[in-house]
Amino acid sequence: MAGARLFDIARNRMLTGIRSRHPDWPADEIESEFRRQLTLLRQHEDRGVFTPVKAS
Amino acid sequence: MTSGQAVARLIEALEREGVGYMLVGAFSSNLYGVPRATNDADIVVEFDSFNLGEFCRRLGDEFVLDRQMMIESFTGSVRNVITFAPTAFEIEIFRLGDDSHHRERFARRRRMRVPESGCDAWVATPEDVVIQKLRWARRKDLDDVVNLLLVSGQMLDWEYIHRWTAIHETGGLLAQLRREAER
Repeated sequence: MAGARLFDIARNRMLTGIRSRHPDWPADEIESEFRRQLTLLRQHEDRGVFTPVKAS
Repeated sequence: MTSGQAVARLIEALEREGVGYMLVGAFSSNLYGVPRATNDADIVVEFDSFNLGEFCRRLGDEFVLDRQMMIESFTGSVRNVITFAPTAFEIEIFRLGDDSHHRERFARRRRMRVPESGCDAWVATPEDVVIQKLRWARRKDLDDVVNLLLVSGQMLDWEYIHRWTAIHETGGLLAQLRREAER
């Protein structure tokens, strides 16, 4: 489970970073920004590897 | 609940329901090489009599299934994603398909104690981790292979690895990474 534990640590670091850059943001906005950044990372990882299956 | 505990809960549910599965991707390479953070857990599942939607519902409200299936370019594997909502950690569920290497990889899977989870789980062998990561060949996959070769290279079944890398035409890349690991 090291990968998941390290993910949680990285998540907390990213949230702290966003919070320090935007101290006036509420918690839900910080979480939303974290998820936006995570989505970008995942899209980059999936690029050229995964494509959506179209509904028939 | 942490992301690791969420994965452990999903594994326990697969075990309880008697579903054939194995851990692949970084969760497997972390067991044989050098652990690194990963954005997701990859699990191959036999879908013969498995209803993913029902399974996910039984896991609880914190587990959210994205019904959009994705197809992987190299092997044609079909993937669904379950997100553990509290942390946004993703658990990628791959259907065991017809790819010849994937079939043999599944047959060779081994039972291992997964550190920090307190549970035993089915995991791809280190040889199959190397073979699959050479097919994907993204930067992080190649780093994982070098780390695995450094830590576990002397214990691998090289005849098996060479058989599949010849079929996949990844032998040149493997030789390059072995030189890197031995430098």
